[in-house]
Amino acid sequence: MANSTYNPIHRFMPALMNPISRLAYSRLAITSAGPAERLDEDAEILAAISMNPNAIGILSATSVAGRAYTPEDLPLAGSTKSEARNPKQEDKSEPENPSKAASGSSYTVVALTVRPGRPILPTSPAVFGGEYPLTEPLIAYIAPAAPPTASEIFLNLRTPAAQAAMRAQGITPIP
Amino acid sequence: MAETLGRITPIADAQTKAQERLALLRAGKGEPLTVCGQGSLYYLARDLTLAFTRSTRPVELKYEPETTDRLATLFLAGRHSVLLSWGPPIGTLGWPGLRGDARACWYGTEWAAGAAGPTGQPNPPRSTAAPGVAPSVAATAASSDPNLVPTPKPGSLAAQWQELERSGLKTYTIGAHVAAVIVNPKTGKTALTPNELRMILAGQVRDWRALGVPDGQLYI
Repeated sequence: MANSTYNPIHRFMPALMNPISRLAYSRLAITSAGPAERLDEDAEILAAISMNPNAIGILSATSVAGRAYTPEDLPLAGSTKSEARNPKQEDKSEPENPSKAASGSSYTVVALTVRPGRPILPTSPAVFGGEYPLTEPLIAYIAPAAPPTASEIFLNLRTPAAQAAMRAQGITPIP
Repeated sequence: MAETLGRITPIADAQTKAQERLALLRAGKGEPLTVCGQGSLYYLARDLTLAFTRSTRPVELKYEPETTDRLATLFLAGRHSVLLSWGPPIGTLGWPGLRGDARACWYGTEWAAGAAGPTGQPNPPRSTAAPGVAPSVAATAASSDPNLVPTPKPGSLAAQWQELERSGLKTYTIGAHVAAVIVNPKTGKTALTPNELRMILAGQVRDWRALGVPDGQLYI
């Protein structure tokens, strides 16, 4: 039976000390948080939001779709039951699958409308171009007298191993 | 099959060399690299140096963790080759005008200027709440007017940092924490304004109908 008078918003957030929680609150200038269910793992947040039709949540972009995050192929909609599938194929084949929504196994990545009429998703150009606001940059300062190894390690991060190491820490590597 | 024929595959060769480099590292024959940064970044530095050791040459990481407000002081002492930091550490010194930090401060300049707050007042500058970023850094970075950059006091940490920049300090954004906002598709929401998100998370809005979601949703 549908509740026609009240559609409560159910919030799911990482733990208070999680960097993503702190990032969201600092960027949004929130000093006192509203009621939210705190979950330790991003996978739990994804699952909770998929099962709850009134849910909203925040989590690390590296955890979206439960796989390694590459901003270029961030799915606008996904399914916790189809983590192994290619999100590009998924978007093409079933962008608005009502049965998937009805089964309660989906989520939608929400764009932020910083400027009217211009929603911004956390894609690579938006994140590293400074448009997407919920980001915190990781900066490497290389001293003038540093050995060449320092630059080799911290500036050549396009190797699969380096990218995996960053994502494992919940950090989106610069493309 | 290749091994039985006496040939070594490229993958096996790479694995063997990686093991040899790791053995050299364990024997203390790695090239030392001194890094400082927030404690939470130790694991990233460790994993990156290990990946580099496996693929290129052994590097022994010497990591010194420090709190954000003392990072600049530690790095200026000159004992470290690399400083890893969430946001520019110099911002905590209360001197916002270092151009070298500008690249790290583009984030959210429009965000601060563009939207109105819940009460209709402009949002506070994002950087007031951002760790390591002084309030006016974003505005300074967004401006092309060099006269807006204040001059630090001679001998201060900010002046020392500026001197370090002049002598060749390299500053690079190598990654980011990115918070993604997701909803259940039944809400029908695909976009939110900053104020809507703020009010949701602050508990000022508790009903989806206030955000334009029609009646009839069912919470199970």
